[in-house]
Amino acid sequence: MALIDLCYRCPQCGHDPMDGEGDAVWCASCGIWIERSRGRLLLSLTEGDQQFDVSAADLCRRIDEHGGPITRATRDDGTLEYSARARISWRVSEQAVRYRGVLRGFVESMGPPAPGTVTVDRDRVHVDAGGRHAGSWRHLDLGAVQASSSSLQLSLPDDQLVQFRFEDDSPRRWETLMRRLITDAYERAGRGGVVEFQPRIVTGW
Amino acid sequence: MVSGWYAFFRVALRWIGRVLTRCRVSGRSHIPREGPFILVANHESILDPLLIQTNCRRTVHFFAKSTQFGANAVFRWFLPRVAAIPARRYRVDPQSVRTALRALERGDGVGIYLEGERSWEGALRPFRRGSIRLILKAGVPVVPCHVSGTYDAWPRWTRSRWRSTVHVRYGEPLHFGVHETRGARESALEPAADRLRQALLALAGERPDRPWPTGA
Repeated sequence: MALIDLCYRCPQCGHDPMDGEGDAVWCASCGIWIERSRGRLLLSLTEGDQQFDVSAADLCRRIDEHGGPITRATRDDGTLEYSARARISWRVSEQAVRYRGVLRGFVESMGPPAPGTVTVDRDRVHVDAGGRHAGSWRHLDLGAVQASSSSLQLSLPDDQLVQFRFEDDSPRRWETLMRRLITDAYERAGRGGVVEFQPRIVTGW
Repeated sequence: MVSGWYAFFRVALRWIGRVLTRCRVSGRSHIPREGPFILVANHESILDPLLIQTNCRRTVHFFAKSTQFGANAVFRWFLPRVAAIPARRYRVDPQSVRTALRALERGDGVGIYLEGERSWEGALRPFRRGSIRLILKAGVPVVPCHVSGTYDAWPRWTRSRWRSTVHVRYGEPLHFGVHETRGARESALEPAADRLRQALLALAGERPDRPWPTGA
């Protein structure tokens, strides 16, 4: 968890990726510097220059206006492919949560994480964590997408659940990327616009 | 009904909340003194449940993502004792809804973060339809609650905390009536979501607009 998870792309010039460490990020292209200090986000247009208060909502809006995660994932020939290294784990079981003998709900138990790679293109998500933990699924067959602060979960067909804990990439970038690719796949298939991604993907009609 | 553990943690965590933040609370009188109710809140930080529940005199069963229960043994022991309801986010979870409805039948409160997750950017996100459906099905008073300042204190993208001023505002209860059939709930979904959003935004008040710096 770090500021670069939120601000993975430069909100000023659109350069992707930003550089960062902890509660600070900086752009190697235009030189802006953003840091969290006294509970606020402060932006300097050049290092050591005057600092301005900025809101995280503004940062995110400007990142989206630059194209969000799509630009970096798009190749020169117009095709789209993006991948990242991750610790990949699969749901192995569900456990009941009881209190005073009364069932309150269920919790998923994830198996041991394995190092691997997750790759997306315009139509599919490919997971490779070695051996039987490899596969490829159409965006249209995914059941849900949900991100936590440090990981991304995808619901797969046949009641499978896979979780990615990215080693050097932003879960917010991946959440946004997956949502855009799924929305695009649904629209191309004529299934309507996606209005909700969890607990299941729902279209407007 | 307040269990012993819940009462204990409400007091203990209220003090922890005072150490972590400078917390102001307003509108507590809007929380019903008795009978079931649903408390809906925005969600900007992990501090939100601590501050909302410890400043509410009634027991509130809050939905929490199921992965938190599996995070470690401490959370697994602690969360049920503060009336957290595990909700699986990767599928529709009827058991969590049953648990919430049972709590309402007992006359307790149920807490829902309508956005379903902490906001990355500190702004109100779209509401989950399932949460609105539960509100329409339950037909109990709905107390809006807006928490401001927790994003500055501890947003979801950092491990570092900052002690800042937090304001917890409870609003007047809203009444949506009971919608027994699925059709009735679906037709009332959008107006109810709009009303809840307006209620939370009204509690939030105006946020100062910060122009993007140009260096001029």
